[in-house]
Amino acid sequence: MTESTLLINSHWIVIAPLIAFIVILAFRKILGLDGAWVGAVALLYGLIHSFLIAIGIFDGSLVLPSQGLQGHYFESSQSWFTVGNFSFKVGMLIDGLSSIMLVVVTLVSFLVQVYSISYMRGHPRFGRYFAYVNLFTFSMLLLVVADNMLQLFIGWELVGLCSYLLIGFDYEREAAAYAGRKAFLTTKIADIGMYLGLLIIFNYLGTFSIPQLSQNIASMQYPTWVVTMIPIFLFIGAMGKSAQVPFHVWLPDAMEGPTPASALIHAATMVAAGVYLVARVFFLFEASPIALDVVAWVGVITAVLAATMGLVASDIKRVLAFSTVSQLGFMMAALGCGGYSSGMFHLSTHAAFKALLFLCAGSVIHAVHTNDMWKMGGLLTKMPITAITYLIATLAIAGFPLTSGFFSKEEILAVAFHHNIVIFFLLSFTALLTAFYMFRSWFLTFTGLARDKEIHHHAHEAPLLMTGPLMLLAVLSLFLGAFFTYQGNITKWIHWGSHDTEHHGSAVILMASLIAFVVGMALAMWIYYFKPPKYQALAVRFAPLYQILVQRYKFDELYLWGIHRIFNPVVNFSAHFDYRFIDQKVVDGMGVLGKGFSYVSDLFDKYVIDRFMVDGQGTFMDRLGLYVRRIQSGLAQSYLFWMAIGLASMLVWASHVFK
Amino acid sequence: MIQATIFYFLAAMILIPALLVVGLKNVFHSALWLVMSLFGVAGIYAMLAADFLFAVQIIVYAGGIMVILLFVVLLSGRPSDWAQRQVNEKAWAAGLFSLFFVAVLGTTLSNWSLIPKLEEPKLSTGQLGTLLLTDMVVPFEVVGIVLVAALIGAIYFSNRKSS
Amino acid sequence: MIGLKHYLFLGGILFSIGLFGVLSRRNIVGILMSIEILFNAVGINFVAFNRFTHPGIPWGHGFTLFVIGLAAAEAVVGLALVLAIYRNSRTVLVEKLNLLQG
Repeated sequence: MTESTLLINSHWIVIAPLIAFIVILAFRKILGLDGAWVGAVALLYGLIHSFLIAIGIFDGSLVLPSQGLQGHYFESSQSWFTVGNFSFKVGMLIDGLSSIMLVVVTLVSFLVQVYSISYMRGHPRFGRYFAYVNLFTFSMLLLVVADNMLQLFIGWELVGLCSYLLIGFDYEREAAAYAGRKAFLTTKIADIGMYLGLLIIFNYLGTFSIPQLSQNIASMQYPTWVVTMIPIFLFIGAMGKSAQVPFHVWLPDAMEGPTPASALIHAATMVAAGVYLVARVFFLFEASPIALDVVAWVGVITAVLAATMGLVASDIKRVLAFSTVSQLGFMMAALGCGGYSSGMFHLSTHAAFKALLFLCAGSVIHAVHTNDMWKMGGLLTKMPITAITYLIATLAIAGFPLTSGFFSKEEILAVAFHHNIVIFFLLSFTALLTAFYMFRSWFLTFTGLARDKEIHHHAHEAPLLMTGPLMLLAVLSLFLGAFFTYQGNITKWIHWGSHDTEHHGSAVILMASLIAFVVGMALAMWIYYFKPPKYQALAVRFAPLYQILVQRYKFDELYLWGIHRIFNPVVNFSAHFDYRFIDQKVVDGMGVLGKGFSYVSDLFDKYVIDRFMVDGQGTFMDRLGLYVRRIQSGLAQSYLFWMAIGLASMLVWASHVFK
Repeated sequence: MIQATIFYFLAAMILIPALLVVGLKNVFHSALWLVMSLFGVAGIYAMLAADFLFAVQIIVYAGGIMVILLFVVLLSGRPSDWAQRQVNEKAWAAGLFSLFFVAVLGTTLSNWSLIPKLEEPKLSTGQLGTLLLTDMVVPFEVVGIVLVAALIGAIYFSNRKSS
Repeated sequence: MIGLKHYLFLGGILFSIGLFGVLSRRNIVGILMSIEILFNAVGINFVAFNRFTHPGIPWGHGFTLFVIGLAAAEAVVGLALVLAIYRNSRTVLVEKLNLLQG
């Protein structure tokens, strides 16, 4: 296969899961369990194709024809439909950035689908699940390869839809249905920001095409507010998808969905879409230092807040959810500090170990049928593969030296260190917390005495279809980072002009990350492994703090209060107004008016037309007759009289005529 | 001069009784005044050199027709009728109309020039007789038939018991 | 000088008096008498015209003769009718005779 063939046919990567979706949806009754393999095959193809493209770009064998501010890229687009002067395009934009994402998305989707074949066995809506997963993959790929903002937005909204469908997959449970709605609505509110951003983009920059935008923003002058607000608005949209504070509230509740779906969507891919968006149009953010600062600080705050909430979680998936939010904050902070490539690097490594963590959690849940870590314990002996892979992932996320997470996190810290020392300290502190709560979760789940004998008794290792992906991801988590760091940098893929800096070898940063790891792990070990009852004492001693953390800083309560106290009254007032005024007065008024008109018209018809004109004519004729009848009086003299009158008139006439 | 006097006298003799005829309550009295009026008309005929007519008028009209009229007046009507109002409600309109008629006639006639009297013609009775039996024979006969018919009709009418 | 004008005027006045009587008398016999007046007026007219326009040829006289004759016939019949009506309805007032009223 030549390189250009790879590129020209790259749209098949996107279309394959769409075809799988349609096939599965249409034939799910017939296919039964085999429907899942349709999706797996489609994604395997997508994975191989994406992998080949990525390798080609990495080692330079694949030539990308066009050159822009972001480096070389390949673009192909077609006009979808035209409205006036503007034509909506659908197309592919392949460069280093999108090729990384292609690999990430297809790899994780493939592994999750294989895993799900075993995990979702026996579920009544088995076929629909795979249909949704493939629809999601298609949407995510559509977003990733988009060469114009409109297509990106379409993919954006579609992944939101799939997220809703998958979170609320077990819709019989009220909690799941509620979580689905919450996710959709929260991200939708954030999408308003993105929409506003798109509006301003089109209005001022006149195009949606991403390469064109990068040229415009560099070469032309725009009002300051435009340059500042576009990235901020787009970032608001990204905040929704990537669960940044204050839009983070949906992600912990999204854990109601099936665990593999959580792994795919809420760990590796959809939540990364926000980060990807910022990276994709980084030139817009670059043009406004204010926007970059907003991104950085929102990211830092999110990272810290989420990490603190993860300290007290008792549901294993919730811990991972908070961890996801926190790591996304890391990525945003990295981007905000100008670390374009380090942010994307972390996104890739995070995809690997977070997906692994979720799939392991799924394996555990599948075995013990509960999410509550306080009911687990001592599962290491019962589920060794799961336990080991989970440990590997924990090491990666905590930043154990030479794991992939270590390299990516260290790069972020380096970027932060050179940008803003406060951010550096906060991120380091967060790394410490991350290590702590991740090890806490591992110790609670797999070590120590079994807290619930029944559960422990029934626990068993997962089948190969589930453990296979686990092991693959574990390998990636271990070696991905090292591979990239020592095989040439990730900057071989994504290079951002002169803004990207190489930060290897700074001793302070290395020290900071090591300290964070060690201290975090030691604390967790001390509390949860060596002296188990300690955590109860801690909870009592720091009770107020504990309460705040458990209640997740009361964000949900705040929002619900806002809805009940502010939004609902407004809505009620509008409804009331609509009903009382519009419906009753205006609409019914029209009705009354119409009735009045018809009444008047009826009166008119009855009295004027019928009585006056119709009957009137008759009466008139009657009375006229009565009157005229009197002429025939029967008296000859009267007749003579009239004759005389006639004679007189003739005389008069004759005397006039014959003058 | 004398002519004018005679004319005006005769005119008065015609018109005043005529007015009385149409105005009096007592029908008998008005019938009598009519007789006088007819005499006046005869006088006019004489003035106009219509000698035969003068005679016929007196004999037939005043003598014959008026006698019949008087008969009927006396035969039909109780004396109480003769005291009633003889002129009906329409009298005013009729009066106006008559005045109007006179006015029209007057205005028309006043524009005419006076036509002088030609020489006195011969007395025309003989000529009238000749005329009646030559040029006017048809109307003459017809009038005769009419008179016969009227006679028969009157006899028949008054003979029937129930009418 | 008495000219045609005078005689015609006389005839006209007489005619209008007769007309007045016809239209306004209540008694049938009264109406008949007024009709007689009308006839006389007509006669005066005829004779006057004959005297002044064609004096030698007595057409006017002839006509007047016929008028008189017809007046006689009419008087006879009319008066017979009056008697019959009187016998029937015991009234001679015209306004009571309205059997043909429509």
